[in-house]
Amino acid sequence: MKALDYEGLYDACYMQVYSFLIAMSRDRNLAEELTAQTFYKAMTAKSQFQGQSEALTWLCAIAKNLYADELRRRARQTGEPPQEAASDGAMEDSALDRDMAFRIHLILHDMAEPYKEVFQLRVFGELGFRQIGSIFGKTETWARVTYHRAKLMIQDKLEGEEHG
Amino acid sequence: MDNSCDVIRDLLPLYVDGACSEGSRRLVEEHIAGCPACAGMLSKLRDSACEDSLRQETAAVLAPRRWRNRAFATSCALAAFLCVPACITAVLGRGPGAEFPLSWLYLLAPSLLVVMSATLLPLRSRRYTGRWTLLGYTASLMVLLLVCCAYTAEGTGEAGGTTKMFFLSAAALYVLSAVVIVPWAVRQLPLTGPFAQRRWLAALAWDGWFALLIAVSAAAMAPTGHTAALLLGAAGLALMLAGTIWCLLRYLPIPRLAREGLCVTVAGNGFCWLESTVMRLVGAGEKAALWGRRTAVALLIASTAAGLAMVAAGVWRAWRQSVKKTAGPAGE
Repeated sequence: MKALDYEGLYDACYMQVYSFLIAMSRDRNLAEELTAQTFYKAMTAKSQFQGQSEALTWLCAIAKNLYADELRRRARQTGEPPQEAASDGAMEDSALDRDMAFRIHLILHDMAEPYKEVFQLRVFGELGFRQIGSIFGKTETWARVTYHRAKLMIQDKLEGEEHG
Repeated sequence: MDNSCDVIRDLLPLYVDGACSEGSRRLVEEHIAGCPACAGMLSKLRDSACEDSLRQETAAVLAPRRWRNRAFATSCALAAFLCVPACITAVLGRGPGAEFPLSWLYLLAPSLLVVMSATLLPLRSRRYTGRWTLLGYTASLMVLLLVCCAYTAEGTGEAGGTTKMFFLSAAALYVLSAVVIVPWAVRQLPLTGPFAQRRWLAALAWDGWFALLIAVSAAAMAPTGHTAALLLGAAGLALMLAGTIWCLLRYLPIPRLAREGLCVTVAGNGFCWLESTVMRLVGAGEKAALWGRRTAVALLIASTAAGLAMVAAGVWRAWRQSVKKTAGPAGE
């Protein structure tokens, strides 16, 4: 059971950084690559972090820096000033725009806490509600209700995008 | 109407996950039958398209990550690079007998393995790096030792000399490395169970076991009739036996009956060895030796059979009990 907990948290953390990078770069392949680099950098760093919440902030900071480096690298190659990914995005396949998972990442990026965290832990990490509750110091029922509310919020936003 | 909708909506998550009581379930279903708004919310909650798409993506992202990981790729490249000379030396060294000029190359292959384990395993393993590295390093070191012993024993032509020499040198190597590695390992490795609180016990068990192994193998290598060496061997063996049984009984986290079964097996086997050692010590005559051997073998078979039966019974009983427990209150 303990090993599963740890693996779930690790996977959730990994996907949370990935989600963050997708929201920033709007490019799935780049996000995958930068996430792997982020974790490699984190694991070989001299100072290790303990504790889930600090680790995530720290990892996202690394990810942001790596993304900035990547932008600068691309700017140097093309000779244009570095720019953030436009909302229409220059991607390999524009069909990704309509991909549900992609849109959910963008919605999650703007979602309020604790809904965002609870949803991510449940879906990415496949953690049980009791574990999620204990991470926040709350009950299992709280985690369950929060998760379902987050899901409804996402569904509403997805519908809004389709109709809007 | 609004009040009850609020209450039902609070209950819906529990209802959807099947975690609510019988009374709540009936309440929800009655309400849903007459309230389209709440029924709509229920179908929304049941719609798992969001989770499914995210889970698919998660599986796709997490899976090939290992190959994209630079450390993993580096280690694979290094491994392939080192495998080539290892294979070449292994093939070249396979000449006829120890007089073959290039046969020393045979030793190079395991030593390359040792190098590989010390450098590649830390890169290769994402978690449990320390454990895997130590394990691989010691395993490859043992292979090296074995090959060395086989190589030297071939020259002297002594039957069984390889095994004894191997055990002796392996045990000696371990005691030497134990002085350096074990204190570090014991602090670093995440120990579970009784050792977590008493790390000195883990170090003691490890060192003690191998020190006794030296004593026993040294005794085995001594010429027959050398009393002191055989006494040492017998004493060492007895100590190892007692220690193992005590640890098994006290610390092993398996069902009680299985633990006792293991003890019976170990005791029977150990006693058999002990008896043969004592026989050699005493320098018993032909007939006594034969009788001793027969009883030893009989005891060995009986104890192993009984022990395994007890282990099976213990495990089966524990499994039955756990099945009964999960069949009771519904899990999460």
